[in-house]
Amino acid sequence: MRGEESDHCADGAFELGRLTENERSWLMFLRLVSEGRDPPPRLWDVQLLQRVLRRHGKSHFLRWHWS
Amino acid sequence: VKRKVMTMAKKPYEDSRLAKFLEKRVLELRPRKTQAEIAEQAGFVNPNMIAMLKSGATKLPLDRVPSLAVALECDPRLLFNLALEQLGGDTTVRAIEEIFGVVVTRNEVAWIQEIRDASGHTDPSLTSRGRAAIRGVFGK
Repeated sequence: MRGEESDHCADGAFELGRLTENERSWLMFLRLVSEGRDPPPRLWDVQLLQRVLRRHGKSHFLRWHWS
Repeated sequence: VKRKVMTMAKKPYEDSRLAKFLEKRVLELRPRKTQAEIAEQAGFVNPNMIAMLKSGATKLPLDRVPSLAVALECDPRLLFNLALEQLGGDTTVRAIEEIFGVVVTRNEVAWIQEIRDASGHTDPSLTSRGRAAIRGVFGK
């Protein structure tokens, strides 16, 4: 159990770095809509995010698509 | 009349997100463990503690978050955030965020990483389209 706990501490803030104000807004909205269920993103969710955010990350997408 | 008023009195934490989360989680775990077993696994002496937390009669002490998270098989940071909310609203949460940053669960880390990847790390603002997408994910 001890190992499991330290594993929890190892990610989170350290993995993400500081959240931007925009990311904080996404997170708070996610919490609000999911009603504290803390769901993981599924494949379908990721695909939806990609469609919605494509304009923001066009160059990244093209890099990914053509690599 | 006095007795009636007392029995109908609102429990101090009954509207908290923690009470609602616990009610749902206990139901989900019911095929595998009882409320009393969850209480015992979390180290509560009183086997009725889960019922009290569910009804909002009492708040979850922060030092019980790790063991209760193990018993509920959930992310301790989710439970920590919910317990923080019970402590006294926005200022406590704000103070902790100011010192440590936003406490995010493992699944929330995954969401933020997906948002970063999908946007090509352009730090997208939450637009109405983004809101609609998130609502769509949760059928809202």
